[in-house]
Amino acid sequence: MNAFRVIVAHEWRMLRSSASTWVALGLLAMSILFGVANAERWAESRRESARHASASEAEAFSKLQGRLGSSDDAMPRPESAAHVGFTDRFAVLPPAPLAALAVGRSDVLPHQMKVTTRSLASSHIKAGAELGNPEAFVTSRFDTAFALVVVLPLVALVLLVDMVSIERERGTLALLLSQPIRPATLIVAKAGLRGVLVAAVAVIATLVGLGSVADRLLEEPQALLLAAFSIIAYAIFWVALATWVGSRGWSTSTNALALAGAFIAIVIVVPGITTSVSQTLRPVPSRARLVEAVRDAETSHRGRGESLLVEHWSSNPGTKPVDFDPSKGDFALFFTAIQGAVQRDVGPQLRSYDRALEARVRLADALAVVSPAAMMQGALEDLSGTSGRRHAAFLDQTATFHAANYEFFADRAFSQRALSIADYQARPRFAFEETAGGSRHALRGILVLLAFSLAFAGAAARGFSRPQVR
Amino acid sequence: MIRTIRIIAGRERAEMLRDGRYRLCAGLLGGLLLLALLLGAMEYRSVRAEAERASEASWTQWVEQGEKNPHSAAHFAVYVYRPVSALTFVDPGVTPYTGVALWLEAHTQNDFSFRPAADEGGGGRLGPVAAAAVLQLLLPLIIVVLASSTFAAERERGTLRLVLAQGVSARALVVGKALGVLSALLLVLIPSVIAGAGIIAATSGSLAADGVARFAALTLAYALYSAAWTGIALGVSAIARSTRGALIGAVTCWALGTLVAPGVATDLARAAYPTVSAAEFWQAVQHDLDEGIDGHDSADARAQRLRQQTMDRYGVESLEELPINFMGVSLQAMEEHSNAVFDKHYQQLWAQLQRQNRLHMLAGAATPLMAVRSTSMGLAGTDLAAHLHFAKAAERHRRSLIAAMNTELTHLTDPVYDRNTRSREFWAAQPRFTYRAPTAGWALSGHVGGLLLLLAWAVGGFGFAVWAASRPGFTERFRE
Repeated sequence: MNAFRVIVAHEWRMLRSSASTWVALGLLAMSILFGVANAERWAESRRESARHASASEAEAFSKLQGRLGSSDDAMPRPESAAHVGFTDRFAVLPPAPLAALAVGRSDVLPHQMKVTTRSLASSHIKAGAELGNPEAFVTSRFDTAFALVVVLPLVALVLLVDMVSIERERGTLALLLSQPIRPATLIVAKAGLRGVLVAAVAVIATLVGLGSVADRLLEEPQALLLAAFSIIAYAIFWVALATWVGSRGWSTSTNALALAGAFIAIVIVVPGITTSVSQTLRPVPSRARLVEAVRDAETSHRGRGESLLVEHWSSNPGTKPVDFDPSKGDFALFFTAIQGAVQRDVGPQLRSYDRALEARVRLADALAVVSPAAMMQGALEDLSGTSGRRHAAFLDQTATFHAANYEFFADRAFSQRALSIADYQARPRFAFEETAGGSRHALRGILVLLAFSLAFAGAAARGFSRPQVR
Repeated sequence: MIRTIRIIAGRERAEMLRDGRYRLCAGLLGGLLLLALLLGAMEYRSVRAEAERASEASWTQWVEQGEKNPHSAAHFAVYVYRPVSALTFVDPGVTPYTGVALWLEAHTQNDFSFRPAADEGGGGRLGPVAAAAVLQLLLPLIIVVLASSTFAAERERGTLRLVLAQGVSARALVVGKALGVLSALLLVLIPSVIAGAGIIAATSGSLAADGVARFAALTLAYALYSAAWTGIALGVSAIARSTRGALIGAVTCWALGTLVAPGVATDLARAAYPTVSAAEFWQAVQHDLDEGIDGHDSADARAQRLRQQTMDRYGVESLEELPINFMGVSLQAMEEHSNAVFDKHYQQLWAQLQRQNRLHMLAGAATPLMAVRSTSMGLAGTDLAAHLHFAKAAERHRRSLIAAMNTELTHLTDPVYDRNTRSREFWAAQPRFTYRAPTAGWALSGHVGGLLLLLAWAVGGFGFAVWAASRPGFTERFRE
């Protein structure tokens, strides 16, 4: 233990006297803080957008409600459920408490869906993500996840690349190993100190950054803890990898080449290939066919508004309004009935798209185990609530809300029941319910990273057990 | 001097070809590049075929929509599908991040629907593999790894002093070594260049000449990019005290220049020129539609004015006396107002995006990757400018189609809406949307600045290396 402490103290003196140590660690800390600021700016813009949508919906319904009982015959008629059903409602996916951890896929996936009594497919067709600059998307967002997934390994590798080889090249390794210390003690002390520095700076910078921007941080202590452990596990992985490379007995130049190659493979190439594989093996149907299906359905049901109403009343006895001549129904009433029929026709196709996309996400998740960087990115996206998985849950809940919204307005429209203030108050509202699973995936990521680390640490131990000085 | 340069280049190339590291890197680079080109070509063929099928299907649906009022047809309208540039297989650019389908319906200038990136399923921005990413990220890393130890290793071996003692100038040495490195890499890249040209010839049909011209310009851009990184790596090698220091320094330059700086530059551009959220955008549009562009001309007031103007023009006292269908007039007036509103808001949005892109190009002065990225997308026809070219052409067609429907409606004077109909013959007689993509010349004219910036980087890189190799103490070995 004495020898361990002495080595650690000596290594610390060497590292702290080197400017490159402080430059590297400083770059890591600044990158994380910059990333947090960026991710939080995006999350805040989403919150602002959600507030706008909510205010816009509330204002529209408030205006309509205010016109109830007036003699004003302007469109839309506030007492007509068919008319009011066309008013835009918004299903909004709110940023999670740890949204400042990663932008993830939240800038390419729509986080608001406009819902009316039109078919759900129409909501999907009209759904757009934010009006950002597509050229900016080509470059990875410099968010916290980028700083952790990409910059952290670079900093770790800079500190670890010549951990053992420099001693060998200077001729001091033989001297060290001639002392009564185990090689393992030496390596663990060197690698451990560097790993602790990198992990500590990363964790502290992340927590400080999140603490300064996220006011709901303490709502998610478990997620915060998992984020910290993910960072530590990821740092341990790179330390273990670099230590194994160091155990091969190569020169510093060759170590640098090997580690650069490993970085490129793990962070860029393998995730790219796994994405290509998941896209090839799990194709998603062309979205154009969804558009065609909706238009074909609308064409086939055009002019059938009256007969659809009659069908509805015969399937739902007691809902037919007394003394109502269906041929006198207005455009809005018929359109509502037609949209119900379109939804019934196209709904299964839309669900098949969702299932195909879920299958692709599942495969991408499964393949991510071959790339620690993809695992880490996935864990951060899960913890920040910006993963494709959470978005899929949002789409499911939107579909449920759409069905409830349609039923609310269509039932009243088909039974020609005039809307009252009580109806306006009672209309269904969308509130996203968080789903479980994010923590589970992050935990899986930590375990896979630790498994990789163990494998490399074991290989390094075997490597260092061979003669290091020739 | 030329003979000296040739000898140095030949020697450098021969040494590199013998180096196991070169063979490993070259194999990796060549293999990945060919894989990316192949995957890109397959994806391009598939996407193009689907876009053509979907466009045909949309037109068929328009023609076969049945008998209906032209205004109903204006709502049904057509979908157009963004064509894919022939060089998407090299650089997909913004293609994954812009929607593929555009609905040209009445009253609304829609945004594109269905971004391919939304269906990617995972990996975030870490994939998939594209040739441009391999060339922009991997190629410079390989260059810095292979070239950064050039001078440092010779210095450590003691041969550098011998070479310079032969009377070789620093400039000749730098140029010779750079040519050696680049010619060794060329051996790896030539198969990809041939494959790329072959793919263009096989897939571009009548536009093959345009595609080849763009490909040639792309090749030039990436050649300058490679030269820039070669100069930087040689300069670092000349300055560094050891091969270790040279390699770490060069790889650090690569990491900062290709991974860190571009992300910082992009996010700073976003912060400097923020865009409104989609919700704010559509709310602002709706406000102007309701209240007029200047906020003082409500829809009711405009409608009232139009009624009066139309009755005055025909000398009648009521709308029922008009010899035309007022609905057609009213709808077209509404359309013209909304067109002006959409022009205002979209142009504000697009101007902001273009300001961001100008900052991206300016960031090319800080890192060559930003210069080559913008230039590569532009020459491949996959940048924002190419996307907006299509969007504007589609919007012109939409306005013309809707105007035709509204004009036809004015001639249908039955008081009952559903009796004012047209059918298949009328729909089929409408002009179909055809799109002519901009030429290679158009793309090149927009990216001369980028090419000049890359040239400046190449010259600057070499200048840096020559300066580093001309310093006193260049040949001295350092003790660590």
